[in-house]
Amino acid sequence: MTGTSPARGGGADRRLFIGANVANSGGTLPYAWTRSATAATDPHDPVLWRRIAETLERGVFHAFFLGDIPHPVGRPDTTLSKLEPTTLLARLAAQTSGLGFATTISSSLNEPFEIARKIHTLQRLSGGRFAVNIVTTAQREPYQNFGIDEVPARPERYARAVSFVEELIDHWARIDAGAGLPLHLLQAGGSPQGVALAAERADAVYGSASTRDYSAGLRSTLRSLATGFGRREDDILFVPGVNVTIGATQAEAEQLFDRYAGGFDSETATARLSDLLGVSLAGLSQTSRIPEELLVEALEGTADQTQSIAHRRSFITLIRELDEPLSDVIRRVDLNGSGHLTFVGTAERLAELIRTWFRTGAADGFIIRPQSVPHDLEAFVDTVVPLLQESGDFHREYGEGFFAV
Amino acid sequence: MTRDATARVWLALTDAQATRLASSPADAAAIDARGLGAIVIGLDAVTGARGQVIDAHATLAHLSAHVERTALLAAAVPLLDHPYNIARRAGSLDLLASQRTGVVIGFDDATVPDGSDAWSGGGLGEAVPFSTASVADAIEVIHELWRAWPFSAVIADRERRIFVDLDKVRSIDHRGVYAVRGPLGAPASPDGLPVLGVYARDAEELVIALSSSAETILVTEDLYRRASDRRGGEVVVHLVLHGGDALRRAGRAIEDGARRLVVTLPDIAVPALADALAPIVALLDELLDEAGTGEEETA
Repeated sequence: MTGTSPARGGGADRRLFIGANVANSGGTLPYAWTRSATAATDPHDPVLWRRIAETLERGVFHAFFLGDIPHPVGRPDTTLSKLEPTTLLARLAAQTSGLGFATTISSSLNEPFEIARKIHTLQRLSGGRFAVNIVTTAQREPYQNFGIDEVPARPERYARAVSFVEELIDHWARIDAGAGLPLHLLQAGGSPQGVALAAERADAVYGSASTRDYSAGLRSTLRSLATGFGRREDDILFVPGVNVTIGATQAEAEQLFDRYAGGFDSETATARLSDLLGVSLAGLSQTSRIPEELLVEALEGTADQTQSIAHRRSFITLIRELDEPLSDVIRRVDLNGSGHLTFVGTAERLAELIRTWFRTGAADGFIIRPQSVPHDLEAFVDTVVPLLQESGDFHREYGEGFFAV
Repeated sequence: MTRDATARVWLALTDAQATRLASSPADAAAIDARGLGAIVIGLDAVTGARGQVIDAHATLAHLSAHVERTALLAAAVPLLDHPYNIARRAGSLDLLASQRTGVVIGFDDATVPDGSDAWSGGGLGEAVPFSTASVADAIEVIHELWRAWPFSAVIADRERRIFVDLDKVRSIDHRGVYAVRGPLGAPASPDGLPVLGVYARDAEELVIALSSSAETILVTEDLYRRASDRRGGEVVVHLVLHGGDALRRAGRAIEDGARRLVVTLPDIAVPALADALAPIVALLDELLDEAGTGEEETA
């Protein structure tokens, strides 16, 4: 879009784009924050955040991504302090030199001028290492901090997001005044409105896809939509998120996952899967397979406004492919309900998964979501990154430009 | 010369100086060593001395990686910028930084398009028209939000799996020009609350500043007497010092009773700024010592 992507291209020189989304300083598992006995996992510890940024830079990550919900979550056990992401990333940009940063801004709860001024300032200070992810906030509490009692309907929120991006681009041009600093847009989420906006404007989409086929379909749709806006297919990257727990052995990884998932409750997990599929699995034995007729019923059912039909289909594909008992299937439902792929295992298996998705055109890279911070990030950098570099799939040093792969 | 004494002199950077300093760790460290009371960024937009369009808070957050001792303040104008967002950004920086940080609320932002609302509502909620009343209310919202989640609520008990004592975290349910529920997404710093300052340029703004919850009032030279009558040691006089008459004007302000000064040296580029500051700070300190009653000052 307004940015440049100098080193990007299809074909043989294609390389992975890898970013990290640090959900909070603990990780994506609810009790990961209890893993370290020291203050090092406190969410406001500047030393920990610097260590995370330096770890990512050591791993030649393209981007450090942070999400944002401007309100605390009201649970005493998992309510971790959430720093305002742009402030944190602005400081970390001064402590790094090659790592890119992607901050999240709610189009519902910010003004385009203010954001244009802010991101432009950070582009200048960081030497072009900032991107912005525009989201439409869907939770009620944040709106109440801005004088809005109820969550506005989805069409209104998306209309605001579209006008927000247009105004952002206009303000950017005026503020930039010919200086030539690019506005990099990243788009997270998979709603039709979001995908359309991304196809026209975004440099990359951070999506959620639990199977390779589903991911390939999303990527292909996005690339094709982009050409409809006069862009090249390679002008937009599709990078799904993956929750990762890495162990020296498969057994160790599973043990870590179970410990910080908060005591695995198969009843809750089964209910969550029932919601996702739109059929009740309550009567099934945990040791049996989900009957094919239930899967067919799920495929034919309709999703309510908060459910994604496409995501349900992708998950059913996965269930059929794996042919596992219910007890294994429910573990694959992401604990956060975010729909991201969840990986629990060794570095070799993770590298193979990433390589396979990448080489078969299912993804242009991944956003790594460490389930325990900093442990899983450090394990990824020390054990997975070298494997991807040795096979030539991932770069060894930073190139020119944020999205240069 | 004691640290408390030198803390009577603050430095307000022009936008150009701030941008340069934030990208220059060595220069930032040199200025950090000058024993200033505070570094202030973003006053150009408030006073109308506009140059570049910069985001003061983002610049300050970047600079905070290289300045460890001197207090850091960013101008913030609640004009196309909601007080909840101003409060959370400043609160987050204060948690991360080793020194005190905070905001100086201004009544105008020369970089914002003319006729803008304080808050547009984005078509999703009601707009808040911009006025001195909206600024006054924004100051109170920020003041309340910083107090709603004290650090003592953070227990981080790993055995019992309790991170926060939610009984100590409260909503503010503010109903004024703004309606704000709160709290912020993170607690206040264990070292205390961020600095809440206000910059007044005229009599009307001064009245609001003086009756607000702000702990520090920055004023132009001509407003000093009226301000100090009410708020004494909380008042900081802003002096934009150009060449020859610089020190004479500073001397006059001190004769007038000013005991805290924030100086802008617009003609000096960043590489020379730390060196240029040394004699100025020393001289102002000498003048302040002669004038006496500087003993209560701490920044």
